[in-house]
Amino acid sequence: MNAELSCRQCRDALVELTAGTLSPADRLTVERHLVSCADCQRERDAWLALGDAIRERGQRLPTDGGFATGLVRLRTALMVHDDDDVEHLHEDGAAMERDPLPTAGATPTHGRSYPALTVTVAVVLLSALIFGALATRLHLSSGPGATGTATPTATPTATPFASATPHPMPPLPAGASVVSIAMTSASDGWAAATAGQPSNAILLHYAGGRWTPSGDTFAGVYLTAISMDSYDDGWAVGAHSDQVTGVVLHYTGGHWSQVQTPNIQFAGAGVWAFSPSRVLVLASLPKGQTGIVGSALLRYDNGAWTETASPRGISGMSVLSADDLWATCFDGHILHYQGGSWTTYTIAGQVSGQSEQSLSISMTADGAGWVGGLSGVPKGMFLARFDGHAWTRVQGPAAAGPSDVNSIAMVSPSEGWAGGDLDTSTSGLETVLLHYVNGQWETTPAPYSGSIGKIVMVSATEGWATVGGGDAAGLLHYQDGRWTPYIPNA
Amino acid sequence: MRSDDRADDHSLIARIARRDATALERLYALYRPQLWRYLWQQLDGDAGAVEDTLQEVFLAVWLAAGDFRGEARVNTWIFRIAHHQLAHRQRSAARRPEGHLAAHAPFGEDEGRSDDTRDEPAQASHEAAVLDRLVLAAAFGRIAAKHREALELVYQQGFTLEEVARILDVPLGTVKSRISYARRALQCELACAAAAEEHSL
Repeated sequence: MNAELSCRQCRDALVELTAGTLSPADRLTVERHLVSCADCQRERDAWLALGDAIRERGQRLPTDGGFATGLVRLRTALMVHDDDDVEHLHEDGAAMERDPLPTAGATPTHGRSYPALTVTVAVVLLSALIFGALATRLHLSSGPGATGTATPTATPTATPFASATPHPMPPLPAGASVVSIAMTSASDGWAAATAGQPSNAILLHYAGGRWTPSGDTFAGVYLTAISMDSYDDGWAVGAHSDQVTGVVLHYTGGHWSQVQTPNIQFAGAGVWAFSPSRVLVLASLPKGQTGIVGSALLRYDNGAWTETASPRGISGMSVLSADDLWATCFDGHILHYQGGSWTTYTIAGQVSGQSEQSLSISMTADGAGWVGGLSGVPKGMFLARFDGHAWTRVQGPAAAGPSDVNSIAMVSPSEGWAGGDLDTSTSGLETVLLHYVNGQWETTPAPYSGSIGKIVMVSATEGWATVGGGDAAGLLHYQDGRWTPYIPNA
Repeated sequence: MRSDDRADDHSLIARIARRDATALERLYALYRPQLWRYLWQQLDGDAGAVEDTLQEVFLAVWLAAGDFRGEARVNTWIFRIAHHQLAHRQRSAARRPEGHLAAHAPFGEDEGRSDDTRDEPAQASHEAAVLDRLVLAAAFGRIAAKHREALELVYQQGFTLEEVARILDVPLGTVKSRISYARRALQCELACAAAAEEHSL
């Protein structure tokens, strides 16, 4: 664009100027003209008003609530489509028409026909019918032990979608916000959740392929963790809304009920159930004079509580047994409790003053382990590995960006999952899912936007993760190589 | 790759071309919100049609990813697909009226010719004051769909005029004239509304 603009040239650029898409150099040139041209200023103001009104109109659109359902439909449609594709290849020995669209960058062509679109539309309609029938079928036939992987048309290994798994609806009770999960098997488990305003604690039971409220509700209670020692016995912890009156719930005899807690101020932050009469609770203690949150281990053994003080504030624990546990600390250190004493580890590769926080830890049977967390300045992903002797910081995958890792769950020394979020300025919290396989962490697409809170793996092919935040929190289900969202109904 | 493209979009398209379904799911998660808003407006809030078209768009991406040459931004390419799917849907369905403007518009559309030489109506300076939101919403519903679409792609989706031309598969001049006509049509609608209000008083 010339340095000296005519009014016509200026007005030609006003749309992009007011839309914010004009290049900085052109913008300067146009603005220079505008300073001395009242007519063009009026034109600019008119386009500005129009642009503002159109943008505002766009902001007043209803909320899109169909993400999860749409994703399941897409998977089903693709699966059907790929089957269709296979048949074409088999019959013709050549790929079917695959180009329903102009190639990017190609000269626009008018009046072009797109025969494959007709196929696509038909496939979508067909898939909708199949999806409906399949969902009904799963709903009627699934029971304890069923994983709902049956599909009418596809061989799971023949397509990238191992299983369509359209979940019976509703996937989660409306308004439920899941905070923690404990599975006793692939087909049975419990979730601690909140619902309603003010918040009530509820417990959801997973059986028969669906999550159902237990009916036990605890008003004004926030649960943070749940652990099951068997399908009919478990524990959950949290606190009342004052955050210093701890709550411990025990599931026995088919109901959840409160257990008398030790006479100290605390909030339950973690729980590990060993038996109907033995449980370990991670307690967050109120800030002391130092202003630092403290932690303690509370052990319940046959009706009596004992307290073990922690030398540092604990953010996450991996419990190998009641007397052998590892803990991550808010100050970036790692603690190992064994034989009644604590050992503090530092992580090699940490830079002084970087305000790193380890948030989650998962130890494996070979004595190794991983921690995940966040690094404040500079912002970056925080991963560290224990090789049996020392902790060393490990670089996360570049594709994950400066993500926070909130949870890490190793299935074995060679495989595990980590989850968290990437705070973007444009689209909020993006879900970050990492898969550790073949000796490195890789990013994995997540079928839902929001923060991963906790990952629980039942096996290498079965697992769950809490996702989202506030009223939108739900679950992701990992099964046969695929994560699927279970989001509460609106 | 354009420098302002999302960092991993091109690699996602490459993975989709290799039949990596998880990459398609990632693309779906990234683009559904933007596409949903676009389709919601083009389909007048018909939720079922929006969902169906979204499916068609991502299935078409699945099929056509191998042909993506990376010369355009990924979001331009996807919106181009969405526009084609909309056009296909509209051709297939019974054609709905494109707004009253086509029937009684005081100025016909001259495709491919920019409208710069026309005298803008005298009420241009009056426009900002008249752009009452409620009136504008009603007026927006009455202008031609293709005019409205161009405005929305520019002001809501943030595409440049050249990108809009690529998405709509029309010359750049046509985009400019559509946008110009859209504004003039809105001015006309708003002026008519203001006149009707005065008449009623």
